[in-house]
Amino acid sequence: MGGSTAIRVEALSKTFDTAAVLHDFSLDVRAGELLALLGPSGSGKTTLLRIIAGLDFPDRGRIIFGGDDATQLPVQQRAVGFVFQHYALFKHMSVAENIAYGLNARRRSERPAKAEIKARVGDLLDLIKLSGFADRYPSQLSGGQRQRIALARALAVEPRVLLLDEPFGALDAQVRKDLRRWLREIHDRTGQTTIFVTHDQDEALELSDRVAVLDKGRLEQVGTPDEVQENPVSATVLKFLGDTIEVEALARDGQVFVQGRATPVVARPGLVGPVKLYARPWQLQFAEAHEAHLHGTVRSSYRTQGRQRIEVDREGEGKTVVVEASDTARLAAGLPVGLRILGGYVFAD
Amino acid sequence: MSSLAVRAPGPSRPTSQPAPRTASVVTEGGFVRWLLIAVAIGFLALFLVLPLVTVFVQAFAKGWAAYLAAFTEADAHSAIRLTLIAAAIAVPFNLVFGVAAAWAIAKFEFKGKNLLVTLIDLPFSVSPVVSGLIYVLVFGAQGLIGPWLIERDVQIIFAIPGIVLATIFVTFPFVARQLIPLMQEQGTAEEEAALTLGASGWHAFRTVTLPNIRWGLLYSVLLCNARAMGEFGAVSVVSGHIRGLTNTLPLHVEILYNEYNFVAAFAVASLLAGLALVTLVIKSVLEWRYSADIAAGARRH
Repeated sequence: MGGSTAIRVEALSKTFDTAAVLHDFSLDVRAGELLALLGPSGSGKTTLLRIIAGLDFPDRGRIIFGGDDATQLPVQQRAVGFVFQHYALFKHMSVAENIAYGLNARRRSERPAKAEIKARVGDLLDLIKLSGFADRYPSQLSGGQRQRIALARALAVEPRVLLLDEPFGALDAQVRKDLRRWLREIHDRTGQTTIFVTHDQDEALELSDRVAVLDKGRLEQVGTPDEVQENPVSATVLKFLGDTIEVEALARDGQVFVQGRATPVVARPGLVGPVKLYARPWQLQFAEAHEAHLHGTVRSSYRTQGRQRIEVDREGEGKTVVVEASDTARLAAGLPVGLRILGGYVFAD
Repeated sequence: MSSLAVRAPGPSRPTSQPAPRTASVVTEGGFVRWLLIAVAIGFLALFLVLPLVTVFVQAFAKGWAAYLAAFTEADAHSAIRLTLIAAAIAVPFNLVFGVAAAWAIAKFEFKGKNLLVTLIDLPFSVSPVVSGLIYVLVFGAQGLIGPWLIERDVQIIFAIPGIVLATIFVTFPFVARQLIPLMQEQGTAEEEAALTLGASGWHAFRTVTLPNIRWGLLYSVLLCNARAMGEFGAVSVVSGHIRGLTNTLPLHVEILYNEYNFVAAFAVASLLAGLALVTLVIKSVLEWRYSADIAAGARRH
């Protein structure tokens, strides 16, 4: 990656009624990248996408498209392709008419010839693998097919950026997975700069070149999926990217101790005193009592996709932690166990 | 295959077992059902069918020639013409106003929105006679701005403009009321999609919004038209009943009836009844064919 900047979001602020949804938000989008805006609901990600599209306007800040200030540019002139969560296909138009809409809406002098539009619709139908569907109506299609048509419709106007608002949010799990892979393929083939909004971390991590993690209207971190997973900058990012176990710990001389026992986790220089240690379920291991950092009793366990997840009630704390182990022996409820921390992240308390 | 078919349970079911209950649990016994249906039909016959039949029986009481004679006189002609004029102005006006109001209410947030919705409903809750009186008080010879207008030779009350105004007032809510819930349900995503694809606001309205509301619009225009042509109370107050000049069809019926000219009165009335029947048929066809596109959620009329 590392292309030039396609879109620059500069110090954007937006308030709805009295609730602030974006605070002084800045972000660069590189040309040709597939960027995920990841965040919980209410984090401002959809508002950001709509401001980039020109469907909403910021109170402060600027949107810059390829060097030109587009903040005041009306939506029609921004040349963005927007794909809505619920498709927003035109119900009374056939698939071909839907895809051709943007081309037909142009002024006569800029409108391609009929034959040219027809050819372009045909090419796009091939691209989304729905060649025989030109004369169907949206009501005759499945959710996944509708979303592919919506994408073709957005691509038809050759947008400089493709914006997708929770594009797979209304689809069931299997279709979602297929469409993810398919979208990645389309992106690899077209090289279209694409921003998509999601609250599903798996989707963001699997699909994107870079992930921007949002929380409460602020940008927490932006980086490749590997970067944000290996070096999360805050507990918020860490917690949002997957299940975590939170443990009171003590940092001293670059080492982190839990209940007086050293862990392999390394503390950043300068981080001294009481800290919070966060570990993923697979960074815990069952251990003999004299090696364990945590003690508790098994509450329940269940199996999923070849792994076993065990809930353990921590001794004295009244907290439950989830441990992931290979699917071998099933642990009975009530069994006393010790847990050893194999890795994790520490942040100031 | 055939051996399987023979083994399938079916006609050989033991007769001692009770037959499976096929009726819905919310239904009533036979007697109650028939009683309710009979009451409903009897009521309909007495209050709707009988009067309708009477209208046509009375209209044709003295034969075809007398029936047709009711329409050949000049006053009848002018009444028909005035009714058509009033409807031809009021309906398009309400069409434009209704779409604009529904658009504003369904697609935008603004202060005073609830007040606007309440005001649109006002003509439904006000007696038509009061609606007519309002115009007399404003535009009449002793009214607020009536004298000023009369000085400048502008006659509103007891003239065609008054009749048109009164008609517009009473038919005000039809289109807006029908379209507001429909447009609210449809939301703004399709329009937004059209705008991001480069369509101008007007192009998006013409190619996306209008096709989405077309059947609901046609339906409401139909009802609006029926009311515009049939309105009596408000129009009666502002008309002044000047024969040949300010008489609409319903007013003409009243005058003929008061003159004991029953055949002519019912002949003209049959015209209005015919309009009602045509409206009813088109309305039913629209409801049957496009119910989902007419009203939000379920049928409302």
